[in-house]
Amino acid sequence: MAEENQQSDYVTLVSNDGFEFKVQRSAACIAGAIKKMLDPSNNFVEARENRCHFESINGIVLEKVCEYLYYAEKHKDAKDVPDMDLPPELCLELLMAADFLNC
Amino acid sequence: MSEQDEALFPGSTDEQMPSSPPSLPSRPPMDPPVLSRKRTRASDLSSNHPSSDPAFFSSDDASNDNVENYQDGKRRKKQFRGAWWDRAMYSGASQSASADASIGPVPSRDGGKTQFTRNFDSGVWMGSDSTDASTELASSQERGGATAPSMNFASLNHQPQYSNMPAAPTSSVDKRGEAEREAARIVDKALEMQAQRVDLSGLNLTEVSDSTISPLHSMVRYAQHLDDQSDSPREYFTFLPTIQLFLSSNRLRRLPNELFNLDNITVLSLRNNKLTEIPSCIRNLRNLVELNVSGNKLRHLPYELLSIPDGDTRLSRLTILPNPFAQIIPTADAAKLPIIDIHQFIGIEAIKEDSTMSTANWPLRGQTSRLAGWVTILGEQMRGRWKWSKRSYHQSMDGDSNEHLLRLSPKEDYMIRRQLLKARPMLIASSPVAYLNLFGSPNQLGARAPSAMTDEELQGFFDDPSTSPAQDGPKAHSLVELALKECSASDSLSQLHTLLPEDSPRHVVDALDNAQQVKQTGGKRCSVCGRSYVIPRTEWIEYWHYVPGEMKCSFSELFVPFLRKGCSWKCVPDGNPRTWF
Repeated sequence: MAEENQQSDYVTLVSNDGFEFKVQRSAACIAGAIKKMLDPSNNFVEARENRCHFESINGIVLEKVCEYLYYAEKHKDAKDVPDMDLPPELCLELLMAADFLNC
Repeated sequence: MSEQDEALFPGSTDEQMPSSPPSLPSRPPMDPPVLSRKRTRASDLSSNHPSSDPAFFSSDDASNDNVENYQDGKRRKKQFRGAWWDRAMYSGASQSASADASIGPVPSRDGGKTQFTRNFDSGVWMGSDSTDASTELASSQERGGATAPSMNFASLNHQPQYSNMPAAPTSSVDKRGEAEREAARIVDKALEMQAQRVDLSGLNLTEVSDSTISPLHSMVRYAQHLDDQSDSPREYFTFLPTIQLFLSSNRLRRLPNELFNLDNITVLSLRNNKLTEIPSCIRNLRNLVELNVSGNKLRHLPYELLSIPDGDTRLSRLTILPNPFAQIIPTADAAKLPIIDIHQFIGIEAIKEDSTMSTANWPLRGQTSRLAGWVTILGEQMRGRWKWSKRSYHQSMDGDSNEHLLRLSPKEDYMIRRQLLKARPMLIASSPVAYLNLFGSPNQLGARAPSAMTDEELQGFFDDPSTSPAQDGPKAHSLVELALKECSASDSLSQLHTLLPEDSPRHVVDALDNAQQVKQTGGKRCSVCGRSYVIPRTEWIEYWHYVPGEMKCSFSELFVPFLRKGCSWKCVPDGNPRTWF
C-alpha cells in the first residue's frame, strides 16, 4: 500500500481552514519541510497518506505557496528568472510560511 | 356736498396735517450720521435750532465741539480725510471715546499704542478686521518675541541638516557627540562656501550618522567660469559637484548608509579608521576616481568595487594597503618572503625574454607553494597581455610584420608597460563556494561563511572544499527571498516586525532588519546574475591581482581578496572549476 502511494504523482496539501491543494510531488518537494514529510524513510504519516496538513497556514497563503512551488520548479534551470509577484498584504504571512516550509 | 365729499374723500381732513415740520426732525437721530449727512443734516442744520445736543449726533472731533463753533447759523462740519484710526490719534483717544463709539471700533486705551504703530505699516485695512485681532497679534508678538527667535537660532546652530529626520530632532541632537557636531559644522561650512572638498579627517569621530552626511546632497558646483568668453565650451559645464570627502584618521567602525547615496563623490578617503568591511553598495559611487581604504581592519574588499565602471571616471587610484587581508599562506611563512618590485620581479623583464616564469629560484617553498602557483598564473596572464598589447600597438602604428615585435624603442616600451600596469585587475584564483541556507547562514552547524573565516580556516577551506559540499537548488529565488523583497517594497518596512507574531523565530526578525538595511543602502545585486536580492545564498572569495598604487609590495600583497556573493545556489563561479594550489 505504501509502495503504491509513494508512486503517486500528486500529493495533497491541506490548510488549517480545510482547503485542499493537489500538487505535483516534484513541485511539492522543492519545499524542504514537505520533502522531509513525504520521505518514506522518515516514516511520517504524511508519507503514507500523501497528505500534508498544515496547522499554521491558511488557505489563501497556501494557495500562494503552491503557486510558488510550481514557479520554482518551472524555473529550476532557467537563465533569467523573473521574480514572482506576491501580494503585498500577504508578504509577512508568506515569510513565516516559507520559514516553516523551508523553501 | 360736504357729507358727500367727506364720503368720497375720507382723508381730506387729514390732508391739512402733513406739511407740519415737527414730524421731520425726529428722523435724523435715528440714521447713522455718515449716511444722513447730505440729505437730512443740511436741512436740519440750516434751521436756526443749533441748541439740540450736537455732540451726540455729529461725528465732530471732540476738540471742535466748543460753543463758538455752533454760534453762526450755518455750521460746516470739520471733515477729516483719512482713516479713522488716524483721526482717533489726531483728536486724542480719551476725549472722543464716547462720540466715536457710534462711528466704529475704537482702540482700547491700553492696546492703543501698539495698534497705531502696526497700522501705520500695514497700509491696507480690511473692513472686517477687528480691533481684537490686531491687539492679540501685537501682544503675542510681545510675549513670544523674547523666546521664539532664540529657539530658531538654537535649532539652526545645533542641527544644521535640512532635516529629513522623521521626529524628535532634539534627541538626535543629543545622540550625536561633540566630534560629530563639529563634523556637521564643517559640512555646513563647506556647503556655504561651495567648497567641494569636505575635510572631516582627524576629528576623532567614532560614528557618522546619516543626518551629518545627507546635506551634501544639496551641494552644487559653483559657476566659476561664467565670465569667460561666451562661446567657450566652459560655459556648458555641469553643475554636478565633484565632492571630495576625507574621513581619514578617525575611529569609524561603520559607514553611514547615506554616504553610498552620494553618487557625486569622486574622492573618498577612509584611511586610518577601524572599518572591518566596505559595504557592497560602494558600487553606487559610480563617479569615484580615488578611493583610499588603507590602514583599516579589512579582511577583504567587496567584489562590487571591481565593477565600478571604466571610462573617464574610472576608479584610477585605489589605495588598499596596509590592511589585514585574508592570507592564503600562514603569516609566519609570509614574513620570510622579501619585498619585491613588481616591475622587476614578475613584470616586464621576465616577460620580455619570453621565458617561462620559473619559480624555482624564488624563495617559495613548502607552505608557500600555493603562492608560487599563483605567481605563475599571474606571470602567464601578464605575458599574454604583454603580447596582446604589443601586437595591438603595432597594428595601430603601421600594421607591420613581426619583426618590430622584437625591437621596441624605450618610449614604446614605456608606453606598453604603462598600459599593462594600468590594465584591469586579473583574477588569479577563487575559493570553493560556501552554500548558505535560506537566511544566509552556513548550512553546516558551526561552519562559518568565508567572509567570517580566519586565515587558518580559509587556508583549510582552500585545501579541502568538501567542508561545503556543492548544493543543487533552483535558480529561482526562494520564497523567503521573494517575501522579503515584497516586504522591502512596502513603505512601512520599519514597522513590519511589530506585526510578526510574538513567538516568531529570531532569524525571521533578523531577516526583516537585514532587509531594511539593504533597502537603505540602495539594494544588493547578485555578482553573477545581477538580480537584486536581500539574502545571499552563495559566498566565496576571489583573489585578484589588483594593480596597486605602489610598485613595491610583498608577495602576499600581490593578491587581494575580494568577497563575492550570489543570490541562488546556481549563482556560482562560471566555467570550469579552478584547480586550487
